Amino acid sequence: MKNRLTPGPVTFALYILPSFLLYTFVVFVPILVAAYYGFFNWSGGTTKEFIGFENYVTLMTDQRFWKALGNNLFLIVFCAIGQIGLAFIFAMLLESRVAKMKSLHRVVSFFPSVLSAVVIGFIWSMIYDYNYGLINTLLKTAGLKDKVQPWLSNDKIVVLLVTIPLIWQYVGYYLIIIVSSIASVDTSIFEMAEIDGATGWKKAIYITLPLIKNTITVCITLCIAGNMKAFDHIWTLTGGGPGTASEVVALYAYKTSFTSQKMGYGSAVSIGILVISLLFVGVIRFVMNKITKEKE
Amino acid sequence: MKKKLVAVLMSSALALSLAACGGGEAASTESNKEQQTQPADQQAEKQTEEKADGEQVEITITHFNIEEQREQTADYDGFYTMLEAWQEEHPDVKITQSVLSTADYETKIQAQAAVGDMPDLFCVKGSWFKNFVSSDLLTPMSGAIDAYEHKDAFREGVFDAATVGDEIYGIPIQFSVSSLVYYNAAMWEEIGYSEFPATWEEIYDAVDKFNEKGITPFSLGNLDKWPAESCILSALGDRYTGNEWTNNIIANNGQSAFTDPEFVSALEHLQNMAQAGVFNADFNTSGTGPAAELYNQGQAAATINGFWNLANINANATDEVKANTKIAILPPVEGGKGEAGSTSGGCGWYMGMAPQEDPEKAALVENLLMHLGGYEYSVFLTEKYGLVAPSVVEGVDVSAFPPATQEYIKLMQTVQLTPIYDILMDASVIEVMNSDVQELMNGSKDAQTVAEEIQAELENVGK
Repeated sequence: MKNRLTPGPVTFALYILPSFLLYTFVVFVPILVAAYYGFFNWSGGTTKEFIGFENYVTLMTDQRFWKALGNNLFLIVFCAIGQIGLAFIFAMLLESRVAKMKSLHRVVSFFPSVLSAVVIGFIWSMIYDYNYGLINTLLKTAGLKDKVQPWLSNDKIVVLLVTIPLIWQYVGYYLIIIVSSIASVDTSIFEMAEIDGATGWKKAIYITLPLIKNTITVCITLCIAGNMKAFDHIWTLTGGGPGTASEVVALYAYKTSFTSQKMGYGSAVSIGILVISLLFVGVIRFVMNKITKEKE
Repeated sequence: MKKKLVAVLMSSALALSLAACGGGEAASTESNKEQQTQPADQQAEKQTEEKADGEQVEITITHFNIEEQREQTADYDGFYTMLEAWQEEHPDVKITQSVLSTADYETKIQAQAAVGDMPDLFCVKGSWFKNFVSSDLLTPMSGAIDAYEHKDAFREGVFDAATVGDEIYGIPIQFSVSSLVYYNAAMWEEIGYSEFPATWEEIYDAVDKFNEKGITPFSLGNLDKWPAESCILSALGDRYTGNEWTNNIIANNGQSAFTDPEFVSALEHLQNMAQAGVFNADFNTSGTGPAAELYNQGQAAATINGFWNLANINANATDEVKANTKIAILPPVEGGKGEAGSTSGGCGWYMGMAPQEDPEKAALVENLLMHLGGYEYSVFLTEKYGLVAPSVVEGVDVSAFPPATQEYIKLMQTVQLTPIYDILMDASVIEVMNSDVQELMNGSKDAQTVAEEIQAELENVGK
């Protein structure tokens, strides 16, 4: 019986082959090619000049890149708190007995996740608009005229302002993941906890959270990966501006390659993003594993 | 199972036919556009193939003249009119177009240039020539220009940006003036200016008066970062530095630097303008469209913009604004090295030809190119739209044009032109400049820092 269901190694390899080839040519080859182009002084076209590690060395001290990475870090931290944190709280509320119309809440909170980032960008640029925007209109109505300002021109808070739409969009996404992972936990555990007197936030922190920590790790990994490649919201909202105040690494790589026509350096920047993203994810997984093991 | 298969086949057929019929919709993305145009092209191909048996030459053109905007945009109309006329003369040639919006076009052609896979004809920005020529992506055109019957009609300097070494590599398809002050004469009259101020003191005085009345003095939409640099700094900078400085920078010969005091003064001037309330408060977060609307609807007293805004005003402004629109140039600055009666202008976009292997086809493509950007094209633009075109066309009756267009034609007879920064300077220098100028005007960087950063990029390019 078992023999008939398990394919032999050759058949197995054949089954895997299409996906493997697809993945190789769509992911691995482009990465390797980008790494290769990073060794050239190349502005596009057929002529390029080999310059060894110069692009990668320049990248190490490129202040604009590190500043953009700082913005990415800001995004990651705030989105991890805002998206996953809020999603966890909402999930707890949805799971509690007082919540009414649970499926409606679930569906509605997921709506923003299916919208295109460009649409989100436009919606929020209308909210932040100086003349007709929601925020300024509210401020004017509340008599706070001196607080009215062109919000996205304020370089001190612009990164926060572009983070809010991101949080708003993906809360529902993480909510669904967390709700489904809570649903997979045996309900008798929660019942027993309640009998033992764990209610409200105590149940959330000491019972639910440890039970779904693997899901949380996945959420954080997704959050890091998603925010390292953040591009479209920011592109539509500010274009990275004012100046470079809200620029993120993906935007910088794009501008370097296509606006400044430095294809070689742009490739090096992209590889830099890849390495740093992997590093972040690796560190987070390591830390989460450590925490998990210590508790066990 | 059979039913399912039939359903799948039918729905895919439906999807395909939808894609083929969708030509009327304005599509900005490249993939849509290509899907839409290809089936139609293939039909055309079948027809022509039947007419002229034997092998058919195909010429590919990638450009940004979106057909849906043909009615509103003079250059686009000119392009299609020329292309259609040429196609009529050469029915056996198949022309395949790939059309994208300008921003998408720039990205796509750069990506194509990166792999050296160019269409036969494509639009080239002035500042790209050095790169493209060094990558062997363009065919020299000097021979064709010398042999061209109307070569003397080309305006002086139109080939400057397209010249690398001693060779010319492109034919101008647009004559651009990037810095013009469109002002609503009635509104300025109200605050006591019967004509546009000739000094900056008067401008600042007018700005205060407008701001008191709650009117935006000058509308500016600098979200995309290039307008402040291309439409204001290009002209203002020349007032301070003079032409020679700009040409040294463009040539990157080390004789001029962005840190020269003249250019720093120009930057300071621009910063002062932003901080004195010359522009709408949200100038850095407003797009070019909304900013133009502020002026068109009479909510702003003036706007500093390129010649392209003329069509926008003629099409979208209220009748009152249309009737009152006058055009001026920025006032001179004290002690500046530049000419007072000048503004930034010149040829911004060219069409170039990829190197061809087949000499017969090369001759054909060259012929098409000279037709697309040649004398007839300028005649069309001048006579139909009253534009200042790459070639000089004389004896045009201007009286039928809208008042703003007549103003423009009148102004262009006296104005001298200086280089437009973003068309002629290296793309990466411009990228830094655009970004920094936005911060400069926002007040988060000072003029000296900005000058140093742009200079650092210039030196980096020179390496």
